[in-house]
Amino acid sequence: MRTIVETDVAVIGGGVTGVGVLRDLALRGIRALLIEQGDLGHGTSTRNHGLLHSGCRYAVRDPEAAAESYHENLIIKRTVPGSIEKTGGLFVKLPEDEDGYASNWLASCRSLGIPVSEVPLAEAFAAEPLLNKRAEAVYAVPDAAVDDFTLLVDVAADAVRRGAQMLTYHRVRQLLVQNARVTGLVCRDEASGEETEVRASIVVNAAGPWEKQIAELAGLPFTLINNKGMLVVFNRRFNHRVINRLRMPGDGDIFVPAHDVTIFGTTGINVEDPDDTSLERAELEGMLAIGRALIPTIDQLRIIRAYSGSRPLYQVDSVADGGSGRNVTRGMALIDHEERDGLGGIVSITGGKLTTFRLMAEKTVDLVCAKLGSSASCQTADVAVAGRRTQRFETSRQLSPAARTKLGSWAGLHAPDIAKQLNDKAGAQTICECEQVTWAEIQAALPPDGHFRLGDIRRRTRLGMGPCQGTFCQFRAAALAVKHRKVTAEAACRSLQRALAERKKGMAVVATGETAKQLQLMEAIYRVSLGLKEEEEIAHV
Amino acid sequence: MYDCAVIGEGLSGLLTAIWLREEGRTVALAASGTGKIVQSSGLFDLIPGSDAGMERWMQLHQLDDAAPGHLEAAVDRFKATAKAAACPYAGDALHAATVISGSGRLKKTGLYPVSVLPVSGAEKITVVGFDGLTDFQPAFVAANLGRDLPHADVKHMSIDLGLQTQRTLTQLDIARQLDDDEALRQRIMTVLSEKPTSAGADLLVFPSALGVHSWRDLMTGIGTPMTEAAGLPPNAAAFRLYRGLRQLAVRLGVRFYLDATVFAADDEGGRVTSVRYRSGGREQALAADNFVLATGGVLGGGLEMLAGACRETALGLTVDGFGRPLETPANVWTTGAACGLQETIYGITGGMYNLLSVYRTVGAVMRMKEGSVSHA
Repeated sequence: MRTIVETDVAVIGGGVTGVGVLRDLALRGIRALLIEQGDLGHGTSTRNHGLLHSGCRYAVRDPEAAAESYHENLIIKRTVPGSIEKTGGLFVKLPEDEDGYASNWLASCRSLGIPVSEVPLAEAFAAEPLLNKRAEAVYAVPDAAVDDFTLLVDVAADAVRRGAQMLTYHRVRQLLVQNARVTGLVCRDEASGEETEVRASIVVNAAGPWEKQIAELAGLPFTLINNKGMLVVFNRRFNHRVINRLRMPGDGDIFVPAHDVTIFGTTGINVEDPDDTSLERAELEGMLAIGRALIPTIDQLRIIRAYSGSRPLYQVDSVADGGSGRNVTRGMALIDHEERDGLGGIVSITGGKLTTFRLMAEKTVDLVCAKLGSSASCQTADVAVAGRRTQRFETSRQLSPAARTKLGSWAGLHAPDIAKQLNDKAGAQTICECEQVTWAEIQAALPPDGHFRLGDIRRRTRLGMGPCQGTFCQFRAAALAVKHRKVTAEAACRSLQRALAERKKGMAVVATGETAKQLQLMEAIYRVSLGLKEEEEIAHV
Repeated sequence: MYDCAVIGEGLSGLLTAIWLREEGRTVALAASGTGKIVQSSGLFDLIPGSDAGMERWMQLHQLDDAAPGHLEAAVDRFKATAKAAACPYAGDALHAATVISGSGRLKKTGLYPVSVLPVSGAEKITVVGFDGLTDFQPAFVAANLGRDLPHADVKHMSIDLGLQTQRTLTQLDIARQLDDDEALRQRIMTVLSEKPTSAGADLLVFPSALGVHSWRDLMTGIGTPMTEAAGLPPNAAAFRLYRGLRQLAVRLGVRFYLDATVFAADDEGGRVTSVRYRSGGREQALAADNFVLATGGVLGGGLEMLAGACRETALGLTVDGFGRPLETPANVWTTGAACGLQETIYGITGGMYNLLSVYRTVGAVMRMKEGSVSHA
């Protein structure tokens, strides 16, 4: 027995592009359903720098992408305020960086209208003490830090509030084709195995690195380069503004301050498998060697974790560039398969950047509307997503001061729900001390489908993202979930085993010094003291 | 000038110091901080995180045929020491016991404090937690225990001790509250005897939190067979052992150099004459005939992981990629996790390997003193 759902537009992919499309459709009053194989944003959308580009990075190589980025930078700051920290950014020219590039860059930024101002060196060094004192010139740009986790869930939640629907942990198995038209799709609930048939007038393929696989379900040729980049998280936020290197974009030249940490990256290696998020020590070492130019003390700073994600880069022709992937456009590609391949009812949107997700959605939905015969216009540049600041917890005496501060800038629309949970003594208990996550917050983040997954909770609350990488809090959260009858002990242990393997993966590659110690402590506690054996993990995962 | 200076205040360091002192040697113990013993479970496992037996253990550590005999002797000696430290242990070298962990999952162990009761045929088990002790959730422990003991009837309950705090309470916090407050201990006994969930049980399972020194009163007072299930550190059972060994060492006359970070050694003709340590911002030297490095592995801080290499942190010995010293001065011994990463699993050696290692180290130091042999 298959459930049959009818909608106007089916959106495949719960990354930032997919949820952007979903919200745009909802704001135009078009029925839409999003299908995602895992949790929202388990892919590229949360595996990046968290940088809201000012466009300056692309000013020389790709002025069009630069202009788009700056335009969107201003819109996103206004329309998703809860996920943006207006840190500003710096571009730093070192003696070894080409003079010619810097002058071209400056001229291009000016002609694009991106506000760039030179910062006196003494002022830059005072503001950013770890910056290389050999810097020759420093320019301030309107870069910002974006929390991609909150951005994604907030945009998705706003779409749902406006009537859109979502099916997460549903994998698309089949595209339904009739008379040279895609008429819908079949997806399967990864937990129960149950299938759902989605009938839609248009299918939007926004699956990111998995886009080629989706296209191939309908026999559509699709050339996509998945370009994997590695990033690392430092244990503290050592820069106030985003620090970029003023040269032709390359590896290891961006440091982004994010909440209490700094994120540094990245690299670019083409990979076949979109699920390839492997991490190599050699890649890390290479990146650190480059990063040393901007932050000479980089080797003395503690890295708590590494991760990687793939940029889906679209190629117009099917000839591989054979290069790094950095020469392929960072711009977006919207493909009308009816026009290109003679198959109606499906469009693909790929390429682009986190910064330009809204614009990608707008262009996609414009095309969808044209096909549906709708004249509704885009509203996402004007209608804001609810922010996250709240004064509701300023007087919550049962909370520790740090937890109070966190909720004040984090709770957003969950505030009433969290406040209700805080009435119970157990709700105010701090579960994750690194990130000050209370049980009330975890409860508010539990999905309505009844599935307990520590990874989903982490993406919504920052549980386990701090220096101890979930050593204490993941166990506490799992045990409390059993106590509160949210999950069985067996499923809780399974989720713990998965979370442990996932945390270990990101720690192992950077495990020197204190992080090596932390990883051993985590393993000793779980594998030895708590008796959660590794063999069982292999059996379950 | 001491006969021996021991560096490190974990299980290996404390035991080495005590046993050498018992042999009549003058002993100094220098440590930068508390050893990793306080983050342990207080259980002495053979192979950490594994149920495998003696044969596998000997392979893992590449031990000689004399090892089982030495381990048995070390276990006997440790039990006597633990008793003298008012923290008696049970179990034996050759037969593993099955105990309940802080997750409710069962695990094998070698030696265990007497506040731990191995699982043996109990049919009505009640897991007892304390309100506000986030680290031990009785419902979770009971559910897991029920999975591992399908024939037992496992219930759970939680006792409100009336503790109010904004920070996260640990098992050791609860233990200290119970030590300080007899009324709290009384409340536990009253609740347990009144509630049908606990009154009818033939085994009670508690967090490792029943007082650092008042645990015996509680155990006697409750009457029903009971066990502590060690989980997220700090566990009271581990702290009891640490405290007991430390007090015993002091009583025996081991001289402690605390807050003393050893960072270098002075050599003379292939022997170390003194070690240099930093304490309170000053650098000083500690001279001895022999030196035992009980500084732990990566987890304990004796070894530091570098990219693709290892560094020995106290004496600056040249070590291989596993942290194994390539050349050791004639009067320096490494013991426990300081022997190198190849002796650790999940970062730790397991208590049984520590006992063997300390036993052999002490023997070697004694022989050295008698002038018969140097270490292999």
